[in-house]
Amino acid sequence: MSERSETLRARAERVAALLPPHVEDVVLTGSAARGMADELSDIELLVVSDELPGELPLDDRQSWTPPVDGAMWYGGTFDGEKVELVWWTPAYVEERVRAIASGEIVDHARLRTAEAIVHGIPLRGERHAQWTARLARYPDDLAARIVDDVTDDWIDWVESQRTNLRAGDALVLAQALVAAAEGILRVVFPLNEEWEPGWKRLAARVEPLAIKPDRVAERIDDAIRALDLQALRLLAAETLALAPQTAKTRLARERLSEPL
Amino acid sequence: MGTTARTEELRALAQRVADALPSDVIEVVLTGSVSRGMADEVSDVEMLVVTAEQLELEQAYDYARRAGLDGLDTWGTQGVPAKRVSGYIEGEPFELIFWPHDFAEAEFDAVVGGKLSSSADALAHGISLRTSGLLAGWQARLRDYPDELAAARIEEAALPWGGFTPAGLLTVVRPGERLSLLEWMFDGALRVLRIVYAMNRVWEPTTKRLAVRVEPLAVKPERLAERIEEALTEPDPRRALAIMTELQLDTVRLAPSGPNVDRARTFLAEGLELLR
Repeated sequence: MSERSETLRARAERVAALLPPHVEDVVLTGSAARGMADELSDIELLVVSDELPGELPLDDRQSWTPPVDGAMWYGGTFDGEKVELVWWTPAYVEERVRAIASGEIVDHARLRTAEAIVHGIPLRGERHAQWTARLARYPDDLAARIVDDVTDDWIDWVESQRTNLRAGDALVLAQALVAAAEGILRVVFPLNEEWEPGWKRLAARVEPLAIKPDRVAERIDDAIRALDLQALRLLAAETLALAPQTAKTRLARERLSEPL
Repeated sequence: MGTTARTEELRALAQRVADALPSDVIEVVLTGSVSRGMADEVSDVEMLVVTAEQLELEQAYDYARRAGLDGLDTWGTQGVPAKRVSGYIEGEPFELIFWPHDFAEAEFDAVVGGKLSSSADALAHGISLRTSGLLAGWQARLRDYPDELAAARIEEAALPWGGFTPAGLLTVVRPGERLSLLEWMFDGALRVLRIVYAMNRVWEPTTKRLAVRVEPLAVKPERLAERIEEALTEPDPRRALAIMTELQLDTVRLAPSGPNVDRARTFLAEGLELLR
């Protein structure tokens, strides 16, 4: 664990201790929880209670309401460190964990909760152990469904590039590069039955995975720097070759391997 | 605005397809670059086909076939009311989107009510190839872009530009973070454009051919399309992010004040200082 992670974790414990008594659970998430914090990292906390946390031990406090019921975001500083605090009701967390564990959730934005919780460190309350236990097993068929979704997108996408990509249309190219890279990663994590994370610190995130294209993180990084969509298409085809083969994956691999 | 020769050729072909569709097709709207007179060598012909009743995909294929298209295929989400059929006629690529009438009306209401979609732009620039009056009615309603909708879109677009420490921007310029950097900048560019289109009360189009799309807008940061391209293609990550951050800042400075816009002005100004 980085020294910085230890510093942030100690601060986080103090923040957790200062939260009002009605706050039932507090979980440290983000890079400090994973032991990867550096000087740019802040403290990220999941705070669970039925009521809004009310008094917060933060200076320069800000907040905004995301467009969902039972969730709120707060930011501020504590002892000179930046703190991001996500407040969820117990019902909101329970429903998210249930839906993920039962394989109902397939999209990246909501699936990321699983990775955050599993790698989180409980600072208050007993529920974290239950959530982690329920997320210990990667749901049956989820990998196949994610691969299927990505494959469908790629099949459509290769076709649409015929009429979408024009020289100098940097925005469309950027969109294609991001979609290709995310698709590759969205296939790689489930193939290893690992919850997909956010894409920061990519090299460290994919490093422990057994099933992946050779040097996948470096190749994604290089291709994006060089704006080389062709390289990402070939890497996508190579990634799909690691998945169980269906008529659809074969079609996608064929199309991805065609020259642009 | 003049139209390209390619446009004329494709419009004639589109009219032939529209004329050959069965009589329960109540509206055919030509959309995309062919309707805007901007068709070039890679353009395809895009059409919205409104039917009296809901079609199954097989029926939509059948309609397309009877209108002379071959090499038929579909794309996108299946099992929804909209059916999409692509195909060719005389070697030219066509994309037909079939909407049942009630779905078309509901979708139109949702888009005018604030649902993010490029359909409003497509219909506003659409050309009628067969009509029972639907397109004229839609275009009349699209001439008024509600002020409340513009204000809400601008605030929503500025939401992520703040809330974390401005130094957090530096996390995406670290070595090995090219994907996160491009994700952030691409999202930033889309939000800049969302704000600019809303300020101009122009329905937001797709991301294609940006330079041509933003050229006629009166209210916009200087060199908008050029700066987006510069940011997205700049090899140095720090410089790339500085270009994008400055563009975001110039955009929120033009935008009407609101909680998120005000917060973004401070956040982006601090972020830009750190990047310079």
